[in-house]
Amino acid sequence: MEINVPSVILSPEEIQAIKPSERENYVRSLIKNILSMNENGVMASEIVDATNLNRITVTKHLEYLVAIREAYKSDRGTGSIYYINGRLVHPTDRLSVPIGNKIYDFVKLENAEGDFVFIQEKEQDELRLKTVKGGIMIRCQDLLYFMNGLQKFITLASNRIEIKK
Amino acid sequence: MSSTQIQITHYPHRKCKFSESVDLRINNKAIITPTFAPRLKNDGELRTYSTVKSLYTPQQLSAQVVRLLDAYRTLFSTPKKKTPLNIVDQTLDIPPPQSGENVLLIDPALEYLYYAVNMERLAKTPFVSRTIRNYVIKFLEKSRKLESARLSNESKNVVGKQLFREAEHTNFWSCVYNDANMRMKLIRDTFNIELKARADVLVPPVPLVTSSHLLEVAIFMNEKSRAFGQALSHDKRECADYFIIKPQVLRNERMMSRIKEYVSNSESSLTVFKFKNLDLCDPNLAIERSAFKSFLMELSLVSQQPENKAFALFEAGNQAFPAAYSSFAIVSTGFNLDREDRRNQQEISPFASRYDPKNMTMQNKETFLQTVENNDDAIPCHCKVCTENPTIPVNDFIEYNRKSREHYLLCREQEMMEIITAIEKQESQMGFEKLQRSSLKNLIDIIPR
Repeated sequence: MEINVPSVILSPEEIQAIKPSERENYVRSLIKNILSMNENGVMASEIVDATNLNRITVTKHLEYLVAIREAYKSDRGTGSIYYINGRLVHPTDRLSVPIGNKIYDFVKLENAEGDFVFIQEKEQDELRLKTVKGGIMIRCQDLLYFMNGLQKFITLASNRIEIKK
Repeated sequence: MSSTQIQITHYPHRKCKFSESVDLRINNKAIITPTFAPRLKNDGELRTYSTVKSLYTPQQLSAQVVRLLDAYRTLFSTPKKKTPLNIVDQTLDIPPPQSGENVLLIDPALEYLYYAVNMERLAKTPFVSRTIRNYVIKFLEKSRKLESARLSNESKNVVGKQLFREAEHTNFWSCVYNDANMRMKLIRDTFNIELKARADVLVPPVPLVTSSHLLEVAIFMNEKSRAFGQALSHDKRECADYFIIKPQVLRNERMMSRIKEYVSNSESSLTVFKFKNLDLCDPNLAIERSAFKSFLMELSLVSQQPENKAFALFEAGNQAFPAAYSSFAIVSTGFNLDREDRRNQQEISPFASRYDPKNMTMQNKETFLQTVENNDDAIPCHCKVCTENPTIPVNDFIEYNRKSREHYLLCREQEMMEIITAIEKQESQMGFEKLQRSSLKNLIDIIPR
């Protein structure tokens, strides 16, 4: 079955012509777009067929997206199916907290496995562009346990953690 | 999880036939449309604009346009001592530009690869891709050789200036079209410079459309630029579509249909148009007026769809009011106010022209003073600049020009406000009546009804 892909994709020659860091950004962003356009999930091989990108590159970026919780995967038989990590339930369920050159985005998400609070760490560069550095997903029903755990940890290590008030 | 950088909110009560006022959010900056965006050419104009913004808090002046070739002297004006020749790949150690809460659009303005007027400056500004600079340097060199051949009459077969320019221009863009390396370098450099200038939307480098071939190149560059925009950052700036169109193209139905078709189907939320040197007041341009009307109608229908689509018109000139009245969310004109003098090759007066809000045209100092005299020595304008400063600085051209520019901005803001009021009150005749009373009567025909 064919998957949905953006109407314009850079050709392999064009991808080769851009800087390595931009190439990484482009491929990651393209794969993320493809995941967003295919809510029922896609396999790495389907992305390879649709984009002519190298299989290793596609898998590397898919795994990275899973690692920073932008995507999640479910193992089915011989391969894995990748999904975009949920959708924003309500536009107002979003909060950005800038701390130093980092920004922590709190978003309430919904996916096939339930409702989550997604905390994403972003870094701002000299052009004020943000790059995702990592993230965690906490099931909404477990949020209080998580907060209690965090509070306990702060109390436990209070002598060694310097907290700015 | 990254949201779109351009969001449009439509309201049923802010719609009246072909006119609409929407809430436009660009990179978290809010605009109520239509808005006027002056094109700033230097730091002096930026200062005037900032003064007007801080003194009079105009609501419909929410954006500004700076051409790439003016970006350095406009936005990075503080350190004058050293101008690096190429800043594309360098980190700037100069203060960030001051765009504040305004939406900043950087216009690559690559029509100057065709028009000779700013070519020398393109070759010298650090804010331009090396691909462009190399082309301009080679073009100027070849041009000089041709000129000297023509003068020395060495050969009778020296190619004509116009033909040479057309051929070189088309040839350059064909190379960009065919060579992936050159193309990506041009797009990458342009976007990097725009980001360094803190642009809120990326405007792609496209050719001046003079033929069907160049139209296809422009469409191709728009698509490739949008795809490449994702490479710049995870949290990307949105990439607009951009068309710079030679007025003669309005006569070509096939090309105009192709543009309309592309715009309707494009994924970009913002499409920018620039009709270079178009003045539809010219009575000889009846066909162009009719084509422009049908174009406005089409855009108006597209923009009123629930999809996320807005339009901007750069260098709108006399078309600014009708365009804002019909479908353009952002209209922009220059405000150096001496354009007409230059065009007619007359001696340039140190006194700028002044906008006459009733006639909606520029008037020179003598005409303005005559109008004031006929009006019992009162300035016939109700803008805050004119009411707060009733004395005209007749001998001080710096002060006179500054006041004229401030007055121009507030008049344009007033026009945008009038459009919004008319839309809210469902007074669809307002635009026609305003034009009917002005010197732009010819333009009544271009407003869709």
